[in-house]
Amino acid sequence: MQFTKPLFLLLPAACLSAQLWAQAPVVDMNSPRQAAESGRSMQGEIYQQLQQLRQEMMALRGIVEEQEHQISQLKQQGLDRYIDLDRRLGSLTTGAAGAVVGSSGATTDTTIDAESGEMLSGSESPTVSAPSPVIASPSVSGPAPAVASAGNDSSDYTDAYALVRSGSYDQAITAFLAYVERYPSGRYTPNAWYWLGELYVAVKPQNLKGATEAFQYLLSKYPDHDKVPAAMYKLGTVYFLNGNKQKSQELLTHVIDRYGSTGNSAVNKSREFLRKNF
Amino acid sequence: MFKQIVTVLALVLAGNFAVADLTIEINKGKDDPVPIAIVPFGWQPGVAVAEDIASIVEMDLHRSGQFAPLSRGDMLGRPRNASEVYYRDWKSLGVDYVVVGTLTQPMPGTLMANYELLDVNTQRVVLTGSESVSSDKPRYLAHTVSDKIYEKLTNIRGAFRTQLLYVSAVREGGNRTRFRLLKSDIDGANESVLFDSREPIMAPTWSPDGKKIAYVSFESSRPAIYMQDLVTGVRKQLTAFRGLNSSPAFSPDGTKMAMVLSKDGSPDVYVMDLASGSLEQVTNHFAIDTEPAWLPDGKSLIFTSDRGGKPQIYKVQLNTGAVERITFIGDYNARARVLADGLGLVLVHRSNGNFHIAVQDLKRNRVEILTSTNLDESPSVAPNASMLLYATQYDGKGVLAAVSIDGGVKYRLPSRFGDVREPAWSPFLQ
Repeated sequence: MQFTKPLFLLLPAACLSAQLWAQAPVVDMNSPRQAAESGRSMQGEIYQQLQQLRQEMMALRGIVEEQEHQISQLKQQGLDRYIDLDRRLGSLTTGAAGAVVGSSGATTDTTIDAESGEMLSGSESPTVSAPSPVIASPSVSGPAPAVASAGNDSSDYTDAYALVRSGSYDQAITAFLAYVERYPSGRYTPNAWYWLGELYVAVKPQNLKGATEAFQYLLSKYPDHDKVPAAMYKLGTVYFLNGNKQKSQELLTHVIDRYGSTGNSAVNKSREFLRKNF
Repeated sequence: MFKQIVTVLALVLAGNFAVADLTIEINKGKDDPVPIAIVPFGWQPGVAVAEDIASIVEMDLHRSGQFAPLSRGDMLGRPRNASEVYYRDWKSLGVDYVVVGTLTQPMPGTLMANYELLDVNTQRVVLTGSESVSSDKPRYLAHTVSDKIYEKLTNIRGAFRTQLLYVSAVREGGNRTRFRLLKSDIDGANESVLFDSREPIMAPTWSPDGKKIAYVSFESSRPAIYMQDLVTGVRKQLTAFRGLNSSPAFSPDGTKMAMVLSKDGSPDVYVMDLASGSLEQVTNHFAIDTEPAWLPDGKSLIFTSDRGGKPQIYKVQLNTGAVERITFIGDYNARARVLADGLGLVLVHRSNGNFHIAVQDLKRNRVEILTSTNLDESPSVAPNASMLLYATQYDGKGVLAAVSIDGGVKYRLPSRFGDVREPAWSPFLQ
């Protein structure tokens, strides 16, 4: 059953009237009726106070639990830091400093040249505007970010994707940029570009230029990849957001023409988008 | 993300109860599903099968999100065994694996599938199997083949032969609503009514051997916990205390039932010995303690409590009664279920004012949000922990949805009639 709090909502309400009673001045204690009433109001007041105390205690309990948890986390972090420091010092003294390299040395050149300028066969293709090194720059300037990576293609991608799922879009962008930099021809590189495109639209403020470039790069570099129809659809919507309605319409129409027979969900989405916005 | 939308009307074999047959719709796919071709099975002359076995296998694998079955229209041939397979053809179609098979009738009333799983890249048979069932259970035969293939290729035990409990509510004019407790195969087929009532039915749950179920019914106008034998259909009322009688949960060994009773005031967690009927109070607090679930070792329970001011998940050791809070992220965590390995929880989690289904890693204390709609509730995990079902709203109706434990695959099982809710995924049944 769904967790609700009906009990506690009802009880204080019941006591409220009792509290009003209590405020009435009680003078003549000789009247048995008034005495009874005053006893009842007293009971009500005590009951209400009990409720307040309970709520206060529950709130305090919550705070204590959370602080206890934070303390144990801090303890663990302190220990981890110490162990890490100890390890580094140890490797320094043994002269094997090189063993603890960051990833900065391994930077591969990510200057993107959209070599296959022809992206969409047939129809007039949205121009892949020359090289777009801007993509890599928004949050990563210069050398690769010092992401301590396990150096595994698949796990790095999964980690980056986990950031998308947890809604940490800015961090996800950084992680995917690091990914495409580290694995220029990795197994999931096209997917990473796709996510970069999506993320640039999702973050605030939007980076439509970044999104456009990420999608264009994916389309030009991996024209046969599974993500292509979805990327085309998304790029169409980004053009629209940019105010470039003609390009948007062209591209979305192309998605429908090119993939109409495959049952790809991008087709229906394109149709719907065109219907709603044109 | 936008992979494919596949809509398949699940076939309802038990036609008399076509109350709420489910429609499956895959709305989110994995990034790199394994391409596989399930070739339509050949059959011995004289064997008539009411179901398309290969198509059921195909849907099973597709729904798992880990496979991308090749559409039949694209197949260049219909081989029925390994010797008829031209690997080059399949390779040119970009398929990694091919499944071929033949149906036979070794004796009257028995249906047998002989099948082979072939690796296109190494050009070798990786699995040869032979399964038989009584001939009125062709879908079960198909799910068996799915389980074997899934297991071979993922090293995870397949759960395609498991079943599903859920509650439907259908308005019947006036103020009357009919509630039904339903059971179906995991693809929505073979739906049958286990119990129906004019009063609400809640919290259905399976016994660990899958032979009994328990649920809360308001048939006597007050909530009471009932246990029902799935083989004999016999129902037994377990409790009828004053106040709440809710959230039954069988212990892992099946001998006890955890539940929530408010007979002494505030709702607390109790454990009932099913043989003797004796009750033991597990929690005792003036706050609300509810929604118990067992840890796999049967020595402790988790439950939801607002004793800290906000609903959070706590764990209680049954022998000592020691209570420990285990969720700290988010201002609302409730209705937790334990993953089979005991290392994680799925729960209802609130972030930014929206309720989602999330997985909490108990070791690393990390929360991952799996679902994106606004009102998601009642998560229930597959016995192989690959997917979970939950109840949500779609088009203004209560529907069931499934999501893989890594969030990569999602599909909805909207009902065609009424609201469907409170799914419970069965344990392994064979």
